[in-house]
Amino acid sequence: MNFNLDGDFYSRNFQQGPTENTMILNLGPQHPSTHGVLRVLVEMDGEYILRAEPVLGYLHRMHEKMGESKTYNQFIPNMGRVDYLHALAWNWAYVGAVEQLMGIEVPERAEYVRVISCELNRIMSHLLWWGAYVMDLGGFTPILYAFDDRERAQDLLQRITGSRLTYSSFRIGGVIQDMDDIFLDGVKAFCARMPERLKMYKNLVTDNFIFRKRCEEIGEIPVEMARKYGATGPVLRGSGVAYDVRRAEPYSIYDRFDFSIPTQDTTDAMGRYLVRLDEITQSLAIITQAVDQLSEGPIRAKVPKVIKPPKGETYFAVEGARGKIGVFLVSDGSNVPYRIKLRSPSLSNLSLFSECAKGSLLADAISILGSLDLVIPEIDR
Amino acid sequence: MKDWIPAEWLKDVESFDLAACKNEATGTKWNLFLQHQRLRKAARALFDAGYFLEDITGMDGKEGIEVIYHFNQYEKPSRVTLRTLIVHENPEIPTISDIIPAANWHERECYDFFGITFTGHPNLIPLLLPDNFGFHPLLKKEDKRVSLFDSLSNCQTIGVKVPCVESPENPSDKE
Repeated sequence: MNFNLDGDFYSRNFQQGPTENTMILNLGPQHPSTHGVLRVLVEMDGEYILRAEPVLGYLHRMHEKMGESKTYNQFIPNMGRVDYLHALAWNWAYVGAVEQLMGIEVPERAEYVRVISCELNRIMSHLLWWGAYVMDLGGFTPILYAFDDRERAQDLLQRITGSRLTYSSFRIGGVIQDMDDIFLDGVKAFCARMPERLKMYKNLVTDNFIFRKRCEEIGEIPVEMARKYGATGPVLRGSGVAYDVRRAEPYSIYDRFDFSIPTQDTTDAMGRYLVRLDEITQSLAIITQAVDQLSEGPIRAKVPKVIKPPKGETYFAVEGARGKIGVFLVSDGSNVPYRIKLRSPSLSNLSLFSECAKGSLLADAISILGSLDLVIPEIDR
Repeated sequence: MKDWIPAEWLKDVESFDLAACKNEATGTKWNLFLQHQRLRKAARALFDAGYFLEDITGMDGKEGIEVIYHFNQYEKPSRVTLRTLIVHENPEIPTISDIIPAANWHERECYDFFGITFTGHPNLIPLLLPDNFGFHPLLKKEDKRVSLFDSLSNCQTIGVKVPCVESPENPSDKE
């Protein structure tokens, strides 16, 4: 077998430039801290990073092309697999775009099912991130606590979506299944239990001196840098900008709920950490209000069996756990989309990594990567 | 009027066509159709006015490949879309990645999917596809292409002049 010691296409491309006394290092694609198969090429001067360049594409599946060869309904399961941690937000972005294009009114109860399940999914995503991030920084125990809570939410969502990870329960014009009393009781119990758990999280991790040393003043992202790279979500809110699609471009029934948009002015990894924990509290508040406001009604609008939107284009955005999820949809009047563009928040958030990690320690770069909350399948699509 | 485009940069940009869109149906407030040489100016003006780049994408059609730039704002969200057209025979367009770093990866993605060459791009190598992939998956077969104007049926073309007249001297004061 022939081994090429020059490296592959990307490392050859990366090596151009002054290389005296520096070392090129491959972080990944199988490094545990990258949570998937992300590869980062770094040029090191001792322990410090001179240059970093993420190499993407290891999980690329070309969802956009698949969208152009499947009918509108057939494409929904793809959306559960773009971002497996907050699958319902992607579901929503897609069905929302089709509904916007066709002018479909979603029944009120279906909107509530969507809000409750989507927010529950957001909490699950943040819980998994929390455990995984602390594990990146060397604390193994917290992820077991996070999975305890996550498992309860998964059991609940399993009841109304039928799956535990790659949810695809939204349909054009509604949702697949209604909530029953067992689910609603479970949700109430979950919402009652979580505040206590969050207190415990704070005592266990947030106030931990060693943990704070790994987060505070690490990976500072000024607002201007975030805007330059189009960052959204907790990464942007951790820099002090209260930008949330649920408020900025209100969709569905989010204007009926009283919730705040958590921000932190420290701009460091700790800021992003605190924003996400506060978001869990806000999502719990939204779920509690939604359960209280619930009324009976249908869960599916009357839509034609074969979806054929009129000629036209639309852009629909929702707030995912990682930021702004956008679907740009073009219809040529047939039963297959002419063009689907998926805007993934992680891609924009990761693109600022090169600038953010410049000059930091390699160990701190791991902390920065973790604080960006990356989901690789979503970046690669 | 709440939806305006700052007058001072519209004068510089001279889009040859401007379309206002039904926001509820399309999610976009303004569509600006630009010639290639105006693109960088428009991107810079939007960036200076506080916009951020959401994404860059392409669309293959009968007339050519349309390159679409979505911009939005953190403070007063409203989507502005820049559109340019390139011909199939010579898919080349100037880069805006030196103005807005976010464009770097989005342009590499368009290079992968459509084979568009962004002239002046510092590192135009494949982003998501392998380096020896050989073809551009989102280009359509000739008989599958439809007219790009079809997608704009929810938009109404208005002259360039209209928002200029309506926007005040200092646009930041106007709500």
